[in-house]
Amino acid sequence: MAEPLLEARRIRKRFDHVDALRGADFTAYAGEIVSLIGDNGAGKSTLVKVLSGAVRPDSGDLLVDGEPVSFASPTAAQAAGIETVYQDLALAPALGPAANLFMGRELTKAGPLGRLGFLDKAAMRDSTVRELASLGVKLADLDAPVSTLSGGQRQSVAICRAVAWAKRVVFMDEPTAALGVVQTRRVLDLIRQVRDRGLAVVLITHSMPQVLEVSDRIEVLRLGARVARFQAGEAKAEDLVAAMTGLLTHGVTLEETV
Amino acid sequence: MRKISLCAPVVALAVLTGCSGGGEAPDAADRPYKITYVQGMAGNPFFTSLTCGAQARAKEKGVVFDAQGGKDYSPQSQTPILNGVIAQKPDAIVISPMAGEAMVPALSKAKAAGIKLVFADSVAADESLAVSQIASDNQAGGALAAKTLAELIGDKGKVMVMGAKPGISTTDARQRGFEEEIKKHPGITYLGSQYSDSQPATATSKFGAVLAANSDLAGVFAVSTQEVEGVATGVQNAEKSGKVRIVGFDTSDPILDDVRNGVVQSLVVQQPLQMGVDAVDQAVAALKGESTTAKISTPFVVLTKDNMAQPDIAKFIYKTTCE
Amino acid sequence: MTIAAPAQPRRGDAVRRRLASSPLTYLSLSLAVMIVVFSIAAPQAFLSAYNVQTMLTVTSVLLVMSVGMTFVIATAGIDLSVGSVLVFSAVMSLKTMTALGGDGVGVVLAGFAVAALSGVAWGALNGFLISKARVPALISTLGTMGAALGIAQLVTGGNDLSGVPKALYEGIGLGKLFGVVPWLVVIALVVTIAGAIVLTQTRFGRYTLFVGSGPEAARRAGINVDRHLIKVYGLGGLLAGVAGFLDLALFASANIAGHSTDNLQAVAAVVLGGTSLFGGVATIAGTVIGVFIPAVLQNGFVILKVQTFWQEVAIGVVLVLAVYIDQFKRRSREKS
Repeated sequence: MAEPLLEARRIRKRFDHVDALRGADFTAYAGEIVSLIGDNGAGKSTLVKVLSGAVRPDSGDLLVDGEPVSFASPTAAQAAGIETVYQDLALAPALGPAANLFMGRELTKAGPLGRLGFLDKAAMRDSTVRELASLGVKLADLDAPVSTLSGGQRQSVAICRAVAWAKRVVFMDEPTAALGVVQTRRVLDLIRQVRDRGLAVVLITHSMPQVLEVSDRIEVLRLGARVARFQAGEAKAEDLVAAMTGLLTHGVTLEETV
Repeated sequence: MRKISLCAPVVALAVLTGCSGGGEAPDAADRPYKITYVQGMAGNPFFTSLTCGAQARAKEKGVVFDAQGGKDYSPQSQTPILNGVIAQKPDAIVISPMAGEAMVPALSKAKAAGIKLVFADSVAADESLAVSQIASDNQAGGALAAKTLAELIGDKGKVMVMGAKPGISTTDARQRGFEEEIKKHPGITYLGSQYSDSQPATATSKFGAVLAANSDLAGVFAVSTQEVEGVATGVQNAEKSGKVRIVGFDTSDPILDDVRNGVVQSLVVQQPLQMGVDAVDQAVAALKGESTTAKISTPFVVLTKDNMAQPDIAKFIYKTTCE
Repeated sequence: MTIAAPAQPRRGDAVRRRLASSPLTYLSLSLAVMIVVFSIAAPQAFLSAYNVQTMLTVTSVLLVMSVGMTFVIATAGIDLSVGSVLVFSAVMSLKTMTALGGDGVGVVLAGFAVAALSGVAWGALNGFLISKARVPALISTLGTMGAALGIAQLVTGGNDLSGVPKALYEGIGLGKLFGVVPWLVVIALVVTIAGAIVLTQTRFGRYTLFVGSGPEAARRAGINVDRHLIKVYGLGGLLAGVAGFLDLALFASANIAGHSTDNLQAVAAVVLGGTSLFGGVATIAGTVIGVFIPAVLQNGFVILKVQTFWQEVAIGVVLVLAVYIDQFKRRSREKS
């Protein structure tokens, strides 16, 4: 198999007196959708935070393209081409898609005006038009505030933003949790498009049907460590649940946790 | 004889507690009287002058004196100050109360607790609470302003009043006095009054509007320093210094400058120093059980560019500190 | 999935639609209607050069303060201390100019610098309290409102100060550009235009809107929200200080007690103009309209001899209507 884009080995993280991660592993390859699942308290969100630079691990290794790295902040992870679509979308509702797409990474005009912080709104708008089109996202008014869009459209804008900047990995935290059936369809299609561009998509979701429908691989977390890895088609829903609850392991060698 | 029978249990107690002397209340002449002045507001030359007059008089009479005021001229600011002062149990309180009912409950409590009250500059709705009230007759002051203005404009032409906020007793009285007097001058057209909300900027705006509608405006009565400042600016913006005559009330450094520069023609000046002196005198008299004067009316002077340097007028200019 | 590039709506259509539903359009129309009505009812008075000049001049001070307040409210914050900071800055500035003595341009510039710095200092303090110490804006600025005015009263003993240099008072306070446009109006215009450009065209302006509309999103995007809040409140304080300096020029004095409602007037102007109290939506053009609607109403009513109390009622009604429309538009826009 090719080199993983992103890998975590034996990650440990302790908050106060709680061991959130006890030697957790994770792997993501290019051009795949890998679902990260686990019961509540399994450590999914902590692991995602470590992988996206929001939290520093106590010990363990992070590797990007096989090289060890350390992320001081989410911005550092972004520099490594890792983007996150948060469950709350992290959009500014009062501003439009273009402004949100370039949040924190605005394009400024050339020359002295740019140094003073003058925005190149035309360039950002054009870029946004292209990015949205490339993912097939259609908006009636490109300049209207994001709060006027439907839930599905907002989700699409958030995904589009992550994809526009991502060079390696896109994390998606519960992307369809708040959506109806039709909008969920569209977002899942969108996620497949993202994978088809060659990025690694890490999907965090509680919906077993969705996991089975869309994943290329599945990694199961339990009590802060990876307990199972499945290829698409290798597992049924009962297997996933069994892995999550500790009744079976698959495709891993477990180490003794201290 | 009654003294002894009252004294017996007291003396018995005294043996145990070591108190000295008989059963009478301590003679008030043994310790100095304590008088506190509750100002209309702190940091205002008029009330500062009142304080200075009272302070000087208190010193002369061997009275312990202090003064406190709120941050602005309102019941919300004066009430906590008054309550705090009452809690300190002075022998007498001199107060420049907010008009109407606002201060009456607290003042009634003070009176019930045996504290003597004197009103200075303004009165509360229940005038019987105080042993004496000392004020300028603001209505007479307004009338004086009207006569002064009438004379300045040759007894004919259009005039207006720039008021403060409706509901402030002193400025309302001045306005009333002006309006009554001006009715007696048939050659003068009264355009009515505007309210500045005690803000110079509003006074400038509204004066400007009246002047725009009446380009032949001859004179303005501005009821207190904020209004004078606003109107003076408006007159200068219109380049009509000396053509539109201004008669004001009270003093402050900027409007004294305006008088020197001929923008403001006259100021009706009260005598807060004298009020302070009279207030302390009345309070002490009440405490000593002597008779008090129910109403004292302090006079005015009219200050102009020509007389402001003369010592017998200059001494009335309100003080900014008590030095 | 589409293969051909989808047809994006023309920019012009969207702009026209938004203009038709924008509160700013209705507000501008309302102001225009007021001006027309007063002009017809009393043309000699209302449209006279003196009246227009006076209205513009006196409003300049409030306008400068309100530009700063627009940025603050855009962050979903509020600054109640602006009136007190104005007084503090005016006092410090005048004391400096008096101490330096004389009448030259240098003295006036020094006075300006002191006024500006005083304003920035209080503004930065507000920003620090709100962002780092996490004291809600209403409370923080209520505190600095008391403190700034209190210090000014201590320094002056509560007395209005005179002694503004002639160069400032006659040159700027009374002086006019080309003999027609009062300098105070020119300065306010420059500040307003600069404010509008910064708000709509620069990163600073955009970050201000992000902080108001989505502070958590902004943080995750790497924007230093705390530092930006300090800058925004600092700007608000700076403009309050500048307003204090302009006030010295206008009245040739530092007035202590006459700015107690400046804060609410500025907030009302900003909100009336369409900037949202909830943050993220701001317009300087709206603030200008919001400053002038009450000013024009008051001016027209006085000229037409309408009773004072009706003025207050009218302005209050207009304000409530504006906020209601803002809320209504917000709710109707949000679909899910």
